Amino acid sequence: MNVLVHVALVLISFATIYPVLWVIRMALTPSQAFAVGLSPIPQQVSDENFRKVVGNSSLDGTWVFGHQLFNSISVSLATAVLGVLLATLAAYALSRFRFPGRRLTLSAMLLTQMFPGTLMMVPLYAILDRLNLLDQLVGLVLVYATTSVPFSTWMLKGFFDTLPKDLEEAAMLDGANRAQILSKVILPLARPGIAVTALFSFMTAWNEYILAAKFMSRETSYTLPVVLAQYVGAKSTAWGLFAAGAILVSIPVMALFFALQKQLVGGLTAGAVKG
Amino acid sequence: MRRLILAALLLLPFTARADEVPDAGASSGRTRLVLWHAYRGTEREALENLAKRLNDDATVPYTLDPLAIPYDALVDKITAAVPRNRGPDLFIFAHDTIGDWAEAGILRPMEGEVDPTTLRGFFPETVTPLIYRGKLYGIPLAFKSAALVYRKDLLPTPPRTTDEMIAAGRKITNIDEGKYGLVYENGLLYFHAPWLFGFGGSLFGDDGRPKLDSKENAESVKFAARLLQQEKIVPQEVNGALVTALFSEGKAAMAITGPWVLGDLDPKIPVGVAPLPIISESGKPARPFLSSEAVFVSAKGKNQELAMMAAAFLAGEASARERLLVGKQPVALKSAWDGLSRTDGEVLWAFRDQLPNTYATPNTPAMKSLWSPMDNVLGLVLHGSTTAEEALKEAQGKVEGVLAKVDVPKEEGPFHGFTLLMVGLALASGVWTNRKLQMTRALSSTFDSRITRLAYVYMSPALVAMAVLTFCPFLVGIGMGFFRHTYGRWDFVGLANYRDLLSGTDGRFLYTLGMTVFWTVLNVSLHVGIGLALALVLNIKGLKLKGFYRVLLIIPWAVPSYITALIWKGMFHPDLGAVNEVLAQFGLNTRGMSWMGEVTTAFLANLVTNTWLGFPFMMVVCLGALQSIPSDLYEAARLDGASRAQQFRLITLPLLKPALLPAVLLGSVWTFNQFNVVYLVSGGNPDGRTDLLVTEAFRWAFERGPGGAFGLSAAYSTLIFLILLGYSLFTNRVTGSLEKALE
Repeated sequence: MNVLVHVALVLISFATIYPVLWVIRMALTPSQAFAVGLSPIPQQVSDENFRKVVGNSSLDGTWVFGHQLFNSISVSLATAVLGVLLATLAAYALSRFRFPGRRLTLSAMLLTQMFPGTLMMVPLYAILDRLNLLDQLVGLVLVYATTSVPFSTWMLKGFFDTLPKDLEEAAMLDGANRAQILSKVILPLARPGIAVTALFSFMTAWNEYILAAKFMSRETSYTLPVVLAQYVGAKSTAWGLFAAGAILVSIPVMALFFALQKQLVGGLTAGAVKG
Repeated sequence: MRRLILAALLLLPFTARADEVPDAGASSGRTRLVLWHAYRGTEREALENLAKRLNDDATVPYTLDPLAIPYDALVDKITAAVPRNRGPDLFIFAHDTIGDWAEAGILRPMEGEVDPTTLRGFFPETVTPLIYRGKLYGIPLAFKSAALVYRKDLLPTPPRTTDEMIAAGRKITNIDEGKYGLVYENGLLYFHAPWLFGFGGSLFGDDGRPKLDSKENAESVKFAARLLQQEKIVPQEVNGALVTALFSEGKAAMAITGPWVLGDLDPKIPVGVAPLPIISESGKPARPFLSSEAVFVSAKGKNQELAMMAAAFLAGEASARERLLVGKQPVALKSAWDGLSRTDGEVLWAFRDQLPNTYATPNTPAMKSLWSPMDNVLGLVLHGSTTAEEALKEAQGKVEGVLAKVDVPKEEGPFHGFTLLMVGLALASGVWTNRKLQMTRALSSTFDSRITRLAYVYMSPALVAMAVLTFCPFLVGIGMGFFRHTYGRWDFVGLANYRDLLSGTDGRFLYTLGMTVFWTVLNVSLHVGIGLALALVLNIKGLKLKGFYRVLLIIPWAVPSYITALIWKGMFHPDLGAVNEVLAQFGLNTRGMSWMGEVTTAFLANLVTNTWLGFPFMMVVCLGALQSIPSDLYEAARLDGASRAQQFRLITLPLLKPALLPAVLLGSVWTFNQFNVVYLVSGGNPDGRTDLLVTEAFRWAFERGPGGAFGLSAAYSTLIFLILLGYSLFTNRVTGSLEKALE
């Protein structure tokens, strides 16, 4: 049984990473050509592409890549924190309270996801301009966080709904207020849900470049996906650099996921529910 | 404490403000000019060298601050930023968008401001494209066109005629070894142009209106089909990535491409460049499209006089030499070429030799509407689905249809219909609100007002943020659907956009809708099915290496999809792709089978790619959702003798629902509006039949109308929205799924 499971998992994992092996091959090959064929084993190996991507500096010698990596991490983490915070509060109210306008709020959040993003860009630019948030990382964070809030709210509401109410009632009897219940009882129990939404919010910001390229107008305020997009020209693409950048960009995501795994599959609810 | 320091560090970048940009010339009183461009590689290096030299010279009254912007964001960014005074002082771009920009008042006209003798110093071919409606709008920097790029190790002398090219190509081609004589993107008008103009064809008639269905155009298309089908010297389904791949691996001896690839090729490859051959049939030279890259001055800049000086410097002698020698750029200034001998600059000189036989891409806004219909013609004919004459005739009809729609309608559109609709909507919403209010009043006794207030306090941060950054743009977006956009001007047209979209589309709208629904259902089922199965397996107690598999399996979500989607496209290539090769190993006769030529297989290719991209997200959601099931329930079930299947059906599935439902619901909406995969993998081929509603909306906004048919695109998006809204209300009625989620 276990052997069969492993064989299946190995096969699936191979199918999953096969296309990514090509990215690695392109990143390690010094030329900027795309690669096709059957075997993704690189013929020559060099770290030239990685060095070029990482070593990117500006005219006055500023280490631009460092700035951009830092921007990306800050913006994505801030988006995750802000997005999860806004969503947790809203989801708790939507899950635990009964009040007029509740359904409308939930449906409205779903509705916003239905409008194709390409068209929201034109008005969004004007709004950020009015608010003086163009070319500011804060502006990006706000936009990304609000983009991720509807999903996160729905998701967390679903998680909160599965948590038994007796725990809260018990806490209430012990004299805890709502804020204490949320932070001390609900949040620890909803850790898997929080982990999922945090990862989702992080990713919303981490890979986005269309808005970032449009709103940011300094090299030191770019995020990494914008830098990646720069390797794509009108009629040609520097595939080696793009691939190296793509790998660098995906490493932090995998590290974050690895760190979040414990929360995601911790089996935390098991003990708590018995009460 | 450590956490605090970390948080403070991460907040650091937010403190930097735009107005605190270090100004190189601030102390010396020099004016800082911002220059936007999309150069990369050596061209960028040359430009930055120039800026540095300029900034170090204190006698120059300004400093130059170049900013590289991703190519596909630049046009859009300029169009949005300049009218709001957020734009640069100068920018560099190809000439083909100047029609749009000049009409929108973005470019400063330069007529009479550039000395005629200076202008005569440039190749005339690079100056004329910069004139729009009799006015000069930019100073040329460089010219870009395709030429014949070949490998000297495979082909000692380049062919002078197409007959010689075919003969040489046939000698080299060996399909079993994956070797081809010639490689070029034969499905794109841009790279087909050399044949089209070489056969004496044209895109516009004498009256200046698009004219595609001429005899010469048909001949050129037949010639391209002959290279592929009879002579078999060109591979099928080529994209830009494949051109560089085959050429640099020595699997193609000749390529029709431009100077832009040179920087991306391994310098060890013996590259030769020659002008494109003479068409043996017509005796005329093949003529590729020409782009004149120029520096433009923003009409809204604060320091336009200085910007003009900077523009003149950038186009001038010292700059041109740097751009030619360091930037490896075919520059527009004649005299700069004296600094490069033919032997040292063999490759660049070849592009210069091509220059007299080029055809400047028309800068009329109508040109925008021709690219994708012509690409479709090539796709269909090369795949053998139809004849050249038929395809061109149909394309002509389509272009006329599109142009009729993007023009501002003469009559104001169905105003009455619009007024009626508005009144109807107002009435309906009034009735609805009234009913709601009555219901609320009736129920208000059941709601605790203290709880209600508390609930809104909890929701207010999210709601306020969304009101400003989501609902506002959303309402503006819907409003845009009642206007027609031409060159930054918005005309109210009532319901005309909707009328035009839904009329005379020969059922295409319904077809695309059906395609989109089918696509959504299949994708979401696969995402959830695979995601859930993997989550269940990875949740087995005591399974070794679980953490390792989990991290491996989220890789498709972690790597930027732009590159992986294109890798999948490469894997679906008929001759060189891994998919056909693997299927052939299983005894299927798939070698050389085209995936993108038929609707079903192209759809399947999109589906596989999107499934690969989408399952990790659902797997993560399922992993989380599985944790919300208390494990003692399973223990109890085991004690009661329930089998694994029973446990899954009676415990796992029902308890998974509340956490999984939102993901499925939102996943459906996202898949419905999935843009990247279809755009990158099948590109809507064949003939736009795998396009989804959202790719259509994009094409209306960016590929069809002069100035961007934003109004039509907004109307199209509103239709998509209404359909989704109707669908969710419908499923709500039928399955009550939303109802349950809302409870």
